[in-house]
Amino acid sequence: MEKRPESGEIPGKPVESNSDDNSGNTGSAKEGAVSSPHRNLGNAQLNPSREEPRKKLCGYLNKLGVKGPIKAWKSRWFFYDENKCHLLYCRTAQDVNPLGSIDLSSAGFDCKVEADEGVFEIRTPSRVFILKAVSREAMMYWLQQLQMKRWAFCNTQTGLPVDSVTMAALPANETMHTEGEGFLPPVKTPTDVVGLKAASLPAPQLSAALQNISLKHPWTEIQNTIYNICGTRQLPGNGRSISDVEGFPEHPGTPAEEQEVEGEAECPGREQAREETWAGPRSHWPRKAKWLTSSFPAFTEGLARERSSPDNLAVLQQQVLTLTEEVKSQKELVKLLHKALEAAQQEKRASSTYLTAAEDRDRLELVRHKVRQIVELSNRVEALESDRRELEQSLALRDSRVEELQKHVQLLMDKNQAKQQVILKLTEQIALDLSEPVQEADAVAADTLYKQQEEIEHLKDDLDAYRTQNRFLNSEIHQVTKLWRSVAEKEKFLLMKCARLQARSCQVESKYLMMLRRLQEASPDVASGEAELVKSLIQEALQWDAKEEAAEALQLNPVREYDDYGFMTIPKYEVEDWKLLAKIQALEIKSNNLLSHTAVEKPLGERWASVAELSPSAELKGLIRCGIPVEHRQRVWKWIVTQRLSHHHAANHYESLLRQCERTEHPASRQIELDLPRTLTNNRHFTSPTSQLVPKLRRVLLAFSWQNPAIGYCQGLNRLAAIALLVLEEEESAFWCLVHIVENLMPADYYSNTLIASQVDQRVFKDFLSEKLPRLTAHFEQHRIDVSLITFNWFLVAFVDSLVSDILLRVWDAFLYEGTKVIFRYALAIFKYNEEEILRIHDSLEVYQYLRFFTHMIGDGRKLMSIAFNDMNPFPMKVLRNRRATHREELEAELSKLERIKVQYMKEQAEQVAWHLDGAVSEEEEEM
Amino acid sequence: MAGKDYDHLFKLLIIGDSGVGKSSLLLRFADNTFSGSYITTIGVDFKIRTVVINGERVKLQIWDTAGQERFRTITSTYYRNTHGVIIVYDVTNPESFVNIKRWLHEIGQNCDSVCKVLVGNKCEDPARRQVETADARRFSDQMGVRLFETSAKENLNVEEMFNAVTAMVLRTKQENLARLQHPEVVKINRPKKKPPVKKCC
Ligand SMILES: Nc1nc2c(ncn2[C@@H]2O[C@H](COP(=O)(O)OP(=O)(O)OP(=O)(O)O)[C@@H](O)[C@H]2O)c(=O)[nH]1
Ligand SMILES: [Mg+2]
Repeated sequence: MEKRPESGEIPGKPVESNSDDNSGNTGSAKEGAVSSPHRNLGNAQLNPSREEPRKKLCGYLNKLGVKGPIKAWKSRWFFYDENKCHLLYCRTAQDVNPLGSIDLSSAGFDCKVEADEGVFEIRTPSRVFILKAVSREAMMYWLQQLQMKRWAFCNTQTGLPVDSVTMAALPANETMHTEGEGFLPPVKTPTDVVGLKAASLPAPQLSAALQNISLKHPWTEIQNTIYNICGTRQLPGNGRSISDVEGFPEHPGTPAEEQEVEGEAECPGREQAREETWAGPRSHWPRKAKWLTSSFPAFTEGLARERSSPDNLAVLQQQVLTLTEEVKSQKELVKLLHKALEAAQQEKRASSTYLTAAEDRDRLELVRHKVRQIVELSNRVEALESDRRELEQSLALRDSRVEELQKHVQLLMDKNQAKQQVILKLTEQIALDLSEPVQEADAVAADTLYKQQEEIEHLKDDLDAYRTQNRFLNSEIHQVTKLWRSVAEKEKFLLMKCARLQARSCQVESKYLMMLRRLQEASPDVASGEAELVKSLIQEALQWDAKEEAAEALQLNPVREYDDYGFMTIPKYEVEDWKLLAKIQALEIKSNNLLSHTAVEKPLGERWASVAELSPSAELKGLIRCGIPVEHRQRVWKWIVTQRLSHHHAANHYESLLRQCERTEHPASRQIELDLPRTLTNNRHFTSPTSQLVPKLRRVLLAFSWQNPAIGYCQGLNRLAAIALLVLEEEESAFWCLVHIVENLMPADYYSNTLIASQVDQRVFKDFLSEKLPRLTAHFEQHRIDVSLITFNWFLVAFVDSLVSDILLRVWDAFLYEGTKVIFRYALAIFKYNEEEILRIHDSLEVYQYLRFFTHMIGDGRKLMSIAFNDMNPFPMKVLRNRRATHREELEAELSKLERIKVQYMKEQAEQVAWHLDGAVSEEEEEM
Repeated sequence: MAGKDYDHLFKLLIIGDSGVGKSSLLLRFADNTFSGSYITTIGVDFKIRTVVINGERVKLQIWDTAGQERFRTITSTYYRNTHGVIIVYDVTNPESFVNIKRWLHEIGQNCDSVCKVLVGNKCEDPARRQVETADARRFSDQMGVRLFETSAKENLNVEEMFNAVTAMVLRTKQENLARLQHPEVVKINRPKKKPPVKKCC
């Protein structure tokens, strides 16, 4: 406050107040702007920015304060802070420090019919504020304003760098511009109770001013009080007597300002405005008082109780009537007086005769006559007296009767009116119902009608209130839904963006790791210091992964430790180099998955969801080739297997096989036992000792060894059965799936004694490779690479343990549906996928090294699929069949030749041993 | 690419019944780890390690084969160009020891001169042992192959065994070289019961 003079403002001079700065408190507001930023925030409504002539949301409201068990309404000055979307409140408009604030951004609004008029609620997650406006209109105004403020804030507050394309996609954005959509038709601003102007008015309920003092915020109270006191002291010469407004000594506004401001408002003049505003908060009692004090007796009796001009006329007429009545009585009085005068004159005459009577007898006679006369008169007087009394009584009776009748008439009129309304109502209803005519109307007692009428009125009121509430709540729901939707849109967009960023980050990371690997490979050429650096960086990258993975698990798209089928997403390889490669691949796969999720997986998922009944078709084939979504895989696999085996076996076939297993031990069981713990060791369902899948696998394999004694058990079948178990879960289904693979899909003798069909397929594959990838084949020949060393087990176990589970299962989807052709296609595709990379390597050993892990380096399953099914076309089954046949012939010939050599060798051996036993020395030895 | 980082490149082959620990031995030698759950070998697999023998850098490409009998026709193709063969049995499994003979035949059918060692794996637990060292020794002497008892699990004798094979192969190579250069001076120091030689290497 010491700063005031320095700021160069003339106290109380209202010159600068702009149109909105009509608080009547310019001086202090200015001071606030200069002296303390805190005040600036707190009383933002008193100092609105000039660029923004929008209406400020502020005004007096009653707030239900809860102090322990005591609940009391307290008048508070509420104002809205746009920056924070807070509704702040203080005791009076002139206070600087708010007593509290309500966060609107997360608030909901409500009004209840059961509550008093004007009562509404603001619900924040932490608290419920119960507020009361002076009227329902004011309440609606507040609620609407609050909604709009909240909407405006929620739409601007995020401030995301959302690019225009995506924003255009958000419906919320459109609605942001069409302001007021979804709001109720705006209520007319109750200018006298809200807005800045209201600040110039005294706070309502001042009689209880002391009670209003917030005990919860004593410090703020003191500050406010001091500030107000100082504020008034600062305005000594503004010519406004403080006592102008009795009881509000702290009100420092200047009348001049007020007048100016109010002149701009709708109010025609200051005086009237003031009167109105004064009357505003307690609009009821002054009128009532007037009515009570209107003193004319006729009024109290009269039917018309209003003081309009026709009424005045009636009053005057009444007056005239009474006056004429008075005149009449006056005339009667005159008549009486005349009679009295006559009587007096008679008496005078009599007394004079008496005086003139000479004789005593005459006089006596006269006196007697007089006495008689007197008695007679007094008798008459008495009679008249009683007559009069009687008449008076009857008059009073009449009067009361009249009064009664009048009341009755009034009552009847009321009743009549009510009846008429009821009749109107009922006829309306009847017209609506088109039912039988009302008869009871007359029968129903007037009394009950009246009550009903009253009730109807009540109900009407209630209905109105409910309607308002309903309308408001509807708009609130609409608002909140809109908010929610826009937030959801934003969240979706952010998630998408996040996925994209994550994908990029994964790509970058995988490239970085690849770089490190390259550097490490080249390390013999690099200086030792740098080699060290590379090594430590790799170490760091690997360790950091572990930590990062753990932390990321809580976030949006974590690289999970295990996938849907329990495979480790990053297999635990023993060698660091492999760990690095596995990591690189996992990152690449994740980035691809993240990118393809919305673009590819979703529409595919939808297409799958629409496939209700499975039946073989080209469309289904195409869908299956793209990979069956996890949630449909089991169903589809089951369908494929049962469809292809339906003609085969009895229902309890599997069980009978199991019984056979129990009876006799198959020679294969030893090998099966050996292999059980060495199956899918990167899958948690098979590594966990408590898992049910290992015993299931045992039973499936044993049953199969009886099912197909020619094969019994071949190493590799364990992997096939394990995959079947993982997907189908049910033991018997897995068994049939294995049967389907071995007996339907694979050529005969694929797994039996000499694995001859498998060997044939390797030759066939080499043919296809040279055909589809001639450059690569030449390269392999040049470096004497035998690809079958690598590819043999791809075919035997359909890529299990070679491809990462994600891609593997996709291959299996098509494999189960279409057969071995799929394996050829994918085997070729894998080479094609990495062709350039392989062609770059010019060392036999390194080519082998590369081929040993390169299946694990495939990150883009979709690309691989597209190569397999598009680039490798045409791939006729007929060619495959023919090639298999020719190669089989050749191989059989070779094998029988080999067998002959073998037999020969055995014979030689036997001879040699025999000869050696004779003690002779082999001559052949000397030949060397 | 980098220049040749080795003086010799040898191809070794590990054979033996399924489950005797071939893959485990290789894993121990190449990566010095042991995994109780290493997947079964289907067809073949290989690993690479470089060792230094007598100051010479020897790069070893060691092929690990499937043990089940029906894979034999496939694995037979891998004997080609092999310098040394490691025949593994499991000292806790007598059957695997009995089968050694068949494995030796297998080698005989597919290679001429090749270095061989006999390895009894899983020797770390005497309680589970079923093939006595003496019996194995007698047999190996008879066959003219060196015997090693190893444990991939406890890392017993693994390094020594592989080094011995490598040294053997190296010596053979050097002797062959010397013989080519000075055929008349060569004194062949062959074991007595060397099977008849067929040229295929
Ligand atoms: N106790 C013990 N167990 C071993 C040892 N070496 C291997 N094993 C176990 O023996 C089982 C078979 O080992 P593998 O190395 O897979 O056997 P393999 O010879 O490669 O078998 P195939 O691949 O089927 O031919 C595994 O469960 C190993 O944990 C060893 O030195 N000691
Ligand atoms: Mg193995």
